[in-house]
Parts: sequence; C-alpha cells; structure tokens
Amino acid sequence: MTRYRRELDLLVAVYLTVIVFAILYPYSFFSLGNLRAILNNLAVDGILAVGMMMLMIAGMFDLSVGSMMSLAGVVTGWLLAKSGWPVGAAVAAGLGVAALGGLVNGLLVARARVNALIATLGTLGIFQGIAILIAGPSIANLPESFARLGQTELLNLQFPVFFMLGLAVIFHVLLTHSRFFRQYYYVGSNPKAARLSAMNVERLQILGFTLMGLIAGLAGLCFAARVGTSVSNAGVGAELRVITAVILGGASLTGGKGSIPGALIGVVFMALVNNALIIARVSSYWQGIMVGLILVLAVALDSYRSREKPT
Amino acid sequence: MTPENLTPTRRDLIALGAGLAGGAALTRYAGLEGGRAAGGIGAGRTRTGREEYVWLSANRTLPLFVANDHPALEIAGQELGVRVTIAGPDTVDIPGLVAAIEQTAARRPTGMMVVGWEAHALIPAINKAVDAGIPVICVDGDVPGSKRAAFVGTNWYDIGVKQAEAMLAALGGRRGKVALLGLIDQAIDQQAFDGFRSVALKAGLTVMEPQHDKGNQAEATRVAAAILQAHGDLVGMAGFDSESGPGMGQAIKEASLAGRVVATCVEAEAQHVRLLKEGVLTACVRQKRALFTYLGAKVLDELAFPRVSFTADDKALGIHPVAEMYYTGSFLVTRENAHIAAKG
Repeated sequence: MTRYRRELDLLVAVYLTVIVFAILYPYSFFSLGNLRAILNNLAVDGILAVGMMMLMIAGMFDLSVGSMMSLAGVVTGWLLAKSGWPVGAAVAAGLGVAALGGLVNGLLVARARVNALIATLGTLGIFQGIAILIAGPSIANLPESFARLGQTELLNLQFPVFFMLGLAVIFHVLLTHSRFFRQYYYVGSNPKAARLSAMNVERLQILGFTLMGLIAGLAGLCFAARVGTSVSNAGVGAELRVITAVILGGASLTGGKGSIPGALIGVVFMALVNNALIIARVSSYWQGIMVGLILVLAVALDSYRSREKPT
Repeated sequence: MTPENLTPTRRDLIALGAGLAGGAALTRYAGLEGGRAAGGIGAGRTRTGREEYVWLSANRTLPLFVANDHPALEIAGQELGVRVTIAGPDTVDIPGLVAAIEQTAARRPTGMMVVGWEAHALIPAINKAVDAGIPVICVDGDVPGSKRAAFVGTNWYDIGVKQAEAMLAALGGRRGKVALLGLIDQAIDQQAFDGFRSVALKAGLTVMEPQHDKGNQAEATRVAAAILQAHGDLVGMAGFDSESGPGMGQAIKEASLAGRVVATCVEAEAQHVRLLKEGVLTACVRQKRALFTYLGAKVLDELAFPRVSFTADDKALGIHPVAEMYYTGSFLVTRENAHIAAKG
C-alpha cells in the first residue's frame, strides 16, 4: 500500500472535504445536482490529466495541451460547419491533427533535444495562433450529431465523464501491466540507466508526447461537443490546472513517480475544493490563495515524509 | 529588350531616372523624422507615406480582438493610407505589455494606441512615450492619470447599468439574489459591477460578491454551476467578460434553470446568440468594438497631423486637437433582434 501512499492521503483529503462540506452545506454542496455538475465540469481536465500523468512519470511535461485541445476542437468544428464533413471523418481529422502536434513536440524534445519546457511553450503559442486563425473567436452551431458526443447523458452524467473513466482504466492497465509502458517509470527515474538497459528512450518520449496530443485532442472534442461550439481559446490555462492536479495526485517534476488513479483523485480534489469555496462564499481572491496553499502544503508534506522514510 | 541592347545614352537615362527615384524615396524617408510646421489650421508634421500606427495590448490574439478590433484597424489604416501594426504579448502579461510599449516607442512610430489592461502599471511607459513626442491614446481600457491624449472605448459603468435594466425588465416583479461573473481584478469590470449595483440595489435585488471566471469559458461554467447549486434563491446572473455569457449559459442549461434564472452578459458572438435563441440568455450588451481601433486610428491621425488648432501654440500649452473621451456606446441584443443585431 505504500506505493499508493500519496493517492491514499489525497483520497482521505477528498473524503474529509466531502464530509465537512456535506455537514456545512447539506442542501447545496451535498446535492445530486452539485455532484453531477462537478463531475461534468472536471471531465475535460480529467482526460488531460491522464496524459499528463503518463508524461510526468516519464520525467516530461507538456505546456501545449490547452492550445492543442483548442486546435483539435476548431479543426473538427471547421470541417463540420464549413466543409460539411461527416462527424466520424471530422473527429478523426481533429484527433489526427492533435496527435500530429504531439508528435512535433516529441520530435523537438527527443530528437532535436529542445528542453520540454521551451519546446511546448513554443508550440503552445503556435497551436493557439493556428486555432484563432482558423476559427476567429469560435465556430458555433455545430451539428447535433456531433454535440451528442458531449451532451448525451448516462446515469445523469455526460459522455465525457465516461470517456475520462475509460481512458483512465486503459492507461492504468497499460502503466501497471504492460511491460512496454512500464518503461516510462524507468525512463523518468533515471533516463541514463534506462538507455544503458537498452531502452529506446527517444522512441518512448516521442510516443508519450504523441499520445498526449491525441488525449488533448479528445479533451478538445469533448468540450466542443458539450457546448456545441468550437471555442478557439477553450483550453487557455488548462495546462497549469492539470499539472497542479497531477502533482497533487503524486507526480513529481523529476519523474518516475505517480499513477493514473492519483491523477484523477488530484483533479477531483481540485474540483471539489474550488466548488466548495464558491459554495462557502469565499472571495475569489481568497480562492486562489487557498488553492495555492493546498498545493504547496501537499507537496511539502510529501517531501518531508519521503525524507523521514527509512531506507 | 535586354540591358545589353541598350545604347550607353539610354543606360545613362535609366540610371538618371533611377537616381532621381532613389533621391525622392530618400527625401520621403528623411521626411519621416522631419520637423513640424508652425501651429495653425492644417498645421502638423509633413506626411511621408511611411506613417505607422501601432495597436498594443496584452492577450493580443484574444479571439474577440482578432474578430473585431484587428479588422477595423486594417480598414482605418487603408482609409488613412498608413501602416497599422499589432504588438504586445499573447497572454495577460502586464510586464510584457510594458516592455512592448517601451520597445515600440523606441522606434518612434507616428502614433500608438494602448489597451489599458492594468492602468497603474502602464502609466510610466505611456508617459515616457508621450514625453518622447509620440502621440499616445488608450483604447478599450483607459489609463487615467497617464499623459495619454484621449480614450476611445466603452463606458463600462453604462454596460453594468444596461445589464441591470435588462435584468429587471425580464424579472418583472421577482426579486432575490443576483450573481456577478467577470475578470474581477480588471478596472473596467469593477466599473461595470458598480454600474450594475447602482440600478439593481435600488430596485431591491441582492447583488452577491463578484466571482472570477478568468475570462475562460470552462472556468465560467464551473463557477456558475457552483453558484447555481449554492443559491436556490438566485434569480439572475450577469457576466462581464466575453466568455462569461457562454459559460454561465452552459451551466444554466445543464442545471435546467433556463428561464428561471435571468442571465445577461456582454458581447453577442455566435455562441451567445445561440444561447439567446434557446432562451438561456436573456440579453447581451454588445459593445461597438470595431470603433475602438477604427476611431482610434483616426484620433491618432488627428493628433499627428492636426487640422484644427485653438491657440498660437497648442503643443506648448498641452492642448490636443481631439476630444479626451470617445465613448463608443453599446446596444442590447435580445432573442427578438438577434438575427439582425448580432454577429455570427
């Protein structure tokens, strides 16, 4: 169980948050409507967090996920609304563009040896710019058949929630049971040793970024379908929200640590805290301070406990 | 005919012509840095054909800017026969905007229009540019207390007033709590909140503390969803940045509260219009955004090449040949007039 210590700690924090706010605000916080709204609203971040956790386990991160998400949404929207493509083809094209963007990031980092921070900071601007050039502010009135992907409900929850859960299960299984994907832990812990062990680190990095692109594309399509509009700045700021949640969920900036359940619990915890602070009528200024404090405290506590652990 | 076929005499003529053309071009270029004529009607610096007006903003590629402000700037540039350029950081990066203002001023364009994102932080950079002799105005967001010659933009207090009036009309006799969403740290949003309160409080509505939606639709949806759950007696929601309306509309729709919660916002892009038509949003106050840069360029041109004067030496007395405030106005877009009053 120590392997999932951070995840369990966070799960306890989630549980306590729910209990405390359910007692304080039984009708507004602990209502089915609110819990449903929280889940529907965290799905996009949750999808992104799955990919980001995989990258961070491998010791990398991607700042361009938000703009990649926007780009995939507007490419799909443009093909649907302006070119009359069928939904399947437009969705495939949107996902393809996002995967291509991820591949570019991977090649920049693994082959051209550009630092991931610089490479993805650069592509963040490029993808965002292209999205705005294609769509202007937005492309509205997307076909109903496409919107259904984001608006159809099952058990009172929208489809993106299930996409998130499905993706999380797939990547959890891959990262824990697949020999190939488990290499990400070794690459993240010690890339030099991984290379000496005959692991193809570059190929793993390129694949990691490409999958991240694909996942960001899925997040972009979910958001566009949910609101029936391709918004060209839909993903602005998503990267920092997601990295924050993933770090809370057990990832480390130096790599080699973390799990997919941790990423999801991190996203859920952040969403719960943000929701609870609004319901508790905490000023917007204080909300930012409190979320920042929680992140710093969680990471500091984890770091302290790691030092305490006997070797 | 190739150059080899030309006689020396004809070559000399061509060389002479080229020399004259080059000389004329150099003269025009020299005119760029040329002095100003004496005061009086029609006085000002000589036009060189190389005039450049620069629009500077943080978040310069904000879709709203790209869709409205930038095209209008191009139109004004074509009409005036000047080059228009866009500068500034792609994010809400105020130090980046300050640096862009200073770097732009260093190359001495004919005029600069600055979007006053963060009034106090921009004062020194704007004043420095004005002291260097560059006409500077503010558009969209003002920088009061700076030496800018004029402001062209919306009166945000009025935007708040208009939203409150539209909300009261839709509420009829109903009263209760109203939530406000926007970029709460921006001065223009704070002016709008004040305008909203000035009407709503008198009418008996309870106006809650504004919530930050970070100018992001997904965030606006999240925040609005939480507010709707927290306040069962909520009767209205007003949004003050371009993403507030679609965000809170989405939350209202998903909570099945369309019609029960009256929602008003700013801007009327395609997504707003869809929500208006669905009856989720009640009214959108649309700014005349295109006028910011269109009029802005013309005001800069008037400052650079004054057509009128008031004294023997306006410049010495710090008198500008333009008005100080150009409020461009706004209008209400509703379900009834959306097909003609909105874009998209």
